[in-house]
Amino acid sequence: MTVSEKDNATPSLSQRRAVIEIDNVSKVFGDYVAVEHANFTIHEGEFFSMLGPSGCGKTTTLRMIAGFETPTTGAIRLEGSDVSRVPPHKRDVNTVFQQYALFPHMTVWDNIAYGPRAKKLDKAETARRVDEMLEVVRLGDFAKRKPTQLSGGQQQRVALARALVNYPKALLLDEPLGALDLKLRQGMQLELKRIQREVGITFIFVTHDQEEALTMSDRIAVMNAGRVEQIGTPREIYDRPSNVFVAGFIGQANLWPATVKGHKPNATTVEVAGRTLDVSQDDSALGVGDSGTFMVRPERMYVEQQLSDESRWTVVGTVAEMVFQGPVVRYELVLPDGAHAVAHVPARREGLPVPGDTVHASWADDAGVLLADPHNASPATSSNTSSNTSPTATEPEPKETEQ
Amino acid sequence: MAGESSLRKGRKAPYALIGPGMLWLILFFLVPMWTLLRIALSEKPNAFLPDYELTWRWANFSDAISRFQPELIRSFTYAGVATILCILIGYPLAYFVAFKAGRFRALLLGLIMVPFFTSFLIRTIAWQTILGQDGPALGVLKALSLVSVTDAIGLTSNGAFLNTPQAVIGGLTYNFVAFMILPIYVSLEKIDPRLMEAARDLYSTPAAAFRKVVLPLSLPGVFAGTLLTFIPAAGDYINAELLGNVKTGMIGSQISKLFLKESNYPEAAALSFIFMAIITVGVLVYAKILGTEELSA
Amino acid sequence: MTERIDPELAAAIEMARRLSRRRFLTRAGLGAGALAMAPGLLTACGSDDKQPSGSDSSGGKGDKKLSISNWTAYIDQDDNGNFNAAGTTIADFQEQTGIAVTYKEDFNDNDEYFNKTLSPILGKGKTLAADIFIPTYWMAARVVGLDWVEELLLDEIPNHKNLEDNYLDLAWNPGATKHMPWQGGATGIAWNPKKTGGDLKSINDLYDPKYKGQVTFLTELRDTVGLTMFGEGTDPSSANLDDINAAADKIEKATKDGQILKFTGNEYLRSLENGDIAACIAWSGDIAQLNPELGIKFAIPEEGGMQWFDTMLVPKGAANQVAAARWMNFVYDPENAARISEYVQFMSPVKGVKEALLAKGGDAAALAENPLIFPDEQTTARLKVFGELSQDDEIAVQSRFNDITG
Repeated sequence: MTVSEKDNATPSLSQRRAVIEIDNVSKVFGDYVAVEHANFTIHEGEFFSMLGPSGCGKTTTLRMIAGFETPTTGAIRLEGSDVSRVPPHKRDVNTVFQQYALFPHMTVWDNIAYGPRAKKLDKAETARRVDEMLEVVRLGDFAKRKPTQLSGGQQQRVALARALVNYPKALLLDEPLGALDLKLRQGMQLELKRIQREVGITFIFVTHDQEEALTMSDRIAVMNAGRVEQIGTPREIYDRPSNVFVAGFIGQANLWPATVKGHKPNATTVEVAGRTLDVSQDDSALGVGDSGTFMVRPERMYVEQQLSDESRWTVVGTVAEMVFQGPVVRYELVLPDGAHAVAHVPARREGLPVPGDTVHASWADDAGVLLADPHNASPATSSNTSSNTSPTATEPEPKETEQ
Repeated sequence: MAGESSLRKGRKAPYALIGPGMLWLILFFLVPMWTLLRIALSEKPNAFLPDYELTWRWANFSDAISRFQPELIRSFTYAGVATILCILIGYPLAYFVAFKAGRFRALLLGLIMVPFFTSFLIRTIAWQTILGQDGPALGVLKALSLVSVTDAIGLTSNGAFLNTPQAVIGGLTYNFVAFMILPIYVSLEKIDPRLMEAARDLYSTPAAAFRKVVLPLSLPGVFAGTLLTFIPAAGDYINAELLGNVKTGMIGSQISKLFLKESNYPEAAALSFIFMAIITVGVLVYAKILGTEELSA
Repeated sequence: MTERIDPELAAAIEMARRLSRRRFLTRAGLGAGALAMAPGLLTACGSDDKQPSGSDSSGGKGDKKLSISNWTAYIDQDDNGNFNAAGTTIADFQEQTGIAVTYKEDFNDNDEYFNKTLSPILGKGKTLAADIFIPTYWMAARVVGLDWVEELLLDEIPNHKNLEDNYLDLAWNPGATKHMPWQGGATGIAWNPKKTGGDLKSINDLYDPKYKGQVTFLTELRDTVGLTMFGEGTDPSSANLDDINAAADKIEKATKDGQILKFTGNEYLRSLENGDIAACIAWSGDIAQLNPELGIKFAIPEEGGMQWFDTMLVPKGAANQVAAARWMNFVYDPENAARISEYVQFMSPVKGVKEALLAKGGDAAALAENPLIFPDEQTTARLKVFGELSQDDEIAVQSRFNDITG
């Protein structure tokens, strides 16, 4: 599947049949609110991810869909019928568990046959399906092995086959790649996508790894502290985060305090880093004088000694640090008001500014995003750095200098 | 040369490591067993003197079997029933402690163990008082006029708890149930709760999930518990002496009487050997049936 | 002394038997587990008994040290169980003679002591660590018969004259030159009037079908068979094998019929107290120690009762025979014997103890009036010691009896 195909598929998603509807669902454990008023719909054939730091409620939501937890309020509908109080064994969804939870006393074959046998499928059909699934996950030669005799990646695939063999209405995956090493994880990401294409089943994928979510998902629900912060395609979430948390959690971002100065048709005038800018975004959530946050992705920034394109928005700063990172050079700038900015520019061979240089940092006007909440409003922005184990860790605060 | 000698040392190292264990086995298992076997095949010219002569008298075995057949059968029957009761009582208890007790787990385990800090003997004697004619157990039954009912279902005999086979089996069950609970608990506690969720997720009812996943995974614990319960229960005779009657004697007291009262070492040794042989065969068959990998592999 | 079913039971039951209830509970509370198990374990491991007594064993005439193996709680001691406390018999003996006493309560069971200690050591011609051990009379007879004991040094025991006369004409040692009785007792019948509804007189009352399943007999062959022989009109002191077998037949039939609930050691006491049985064969000393409020009654059957006693022996080759003789002389002094009687409350074999107790007054004097400790002459006349059996007969009878008792 190419990128363009995927982009074409996106608009049609909303017309597809709804498989799972999360209708105003909350879950409270004692006095701890795990999930608060979650509302979203997952469509047939969709690869849907729930992304967020640990404790954000994504796993609880998944467990409610699976039937291991009951919503405190709200309803979960599976193909239109309310299953909120239906026990797990009567729900046509299956789960791939975090540590796979393979039955250690059964062979690979028996593990996969568990569901069909429990559903009392006849023997021939069970065997046909199990063998088919062994082929799908490419484990035909391992049918007689016990799970402990398999590698992590193989166990992962058995877990997948064991769930998919039931042809569920949705497959729930609870951080299924967390236990694998980086190389294997990247391989399995592609493998998962391939399998999903082959079987055409709705996948609901829980992860705390933003890169994984971006790579694999049709849509992502970013969750934080029990709330769904934003739902959208990877592109939407990356380019147009709805708030500071999402901006900081997905990728890296320059986040600067901004004050609204006025509204124009299709634009908002804000003051950022001592300059007044027009953001091509009519955000009525903010009135004149309100504080918001202005975001620019580091890779959307240009760093030049001579401004080459007058049409871009620009600030002037001093290069504090320059780090060669292979394909890009990472610049850390100090702006006149003391704020910091981070920029990733292509690693050209010549003409790159060096520390101490005064430079223009600029961006195309569609690269700037005005976020409605003040930039220090979300405490999670600083904590998600540690919870995010992705190799391209997010960097929410440009002020924080890197070693 | 140096390389060769270090190579040789390397080959010897494993033997050196199992040395102490082998020595232990030889000294405290093989030698006593050999001695016991020799005595079992001997004759004592004078019962009161310590000397015996190895005469390969195999009749010691047949004599012992024909004389003590009822006690042998009784020992294994009582121990078997007690072991089954231990499983029926111990398994649910262990299950509850392992999966449902939450933060009370340590407390409950402690409570299960506490009675066993008291001497085996004193606990059994306490049961005499509890089960006695004027004891609280029968008192409750009498107050509720249930004695005829318990007589009918075989819980009591002629209106008595004490000095009945039921009391002996009950005493064995009580005294050994902890040895059933603990291994089962350990094996249950090792089971990842997600396996049960996985089974539920794969269309199993709670009962089916238990049957197909939890039970098979806890069988090693049941196996260990059965050995720890059945073997000492079969050899026990304190319960039979204190809680039973003249018709409930078990094999342990017969061996003891042969040795101490009749000074008949050869027949006592033969009877011990028969008892051990039956248990060993029984354990092997049981291991085969249960398919415990550790033992059958 | 009593027979017990096994060494493990021995300690706990012996404790219950010998100590008054109050003392038993106090001591049991201090560490019931250890208390109950330890002595059995010690003998099971064979501890000191099997070691030869050491360098001064050559002459056997040692008079500086003395080692005694006795039953549990069979001598006066203070409330902490200390035998050496000031004012105790042992302390006084050490003070008067300068002999250092090692006193061990490691004699738990006649058969056990014989098979685990006497037979493997004395039977192999080796020497026992103890200078005195105190088996029951029939075991003493066996050991004397095997010639595993020393003649007593009677010159050192002028108080030998205080031995009650009836001990002097025992067939296995006329004149009591190789043993000196320690304490004695009688075996009779006990019953719980609340269960029987009346008093029992005869041993044959225990065979009355109206008490079916409510009667216990003793695992001690000589007591159970002996009393039954009295009921059959035969003489247990004769040790006639036909008479013994006839009695065994009667016991076997009663067992099969369910008349006899079980054969016990001291556990019958708890059965009596708990109301589980109506009547039983019982030891006099036990009943004397029961709470009177229970109303348990004891009697020597009209046909006759069994007499038993434990007696001091000096094993062959004992190191300290002089010291052993001096000890015997000391405890055969009526005053010293009275102090022991006051504590253990069995029948003393020492003449003049009753008078000594009366002279003391108070509780001690009350003890002197207790018919279970000082039976009247009519009762004494009805008591007999079981006759001596030959080795083969003993084993045959014991084997038969074991089959009956299950």
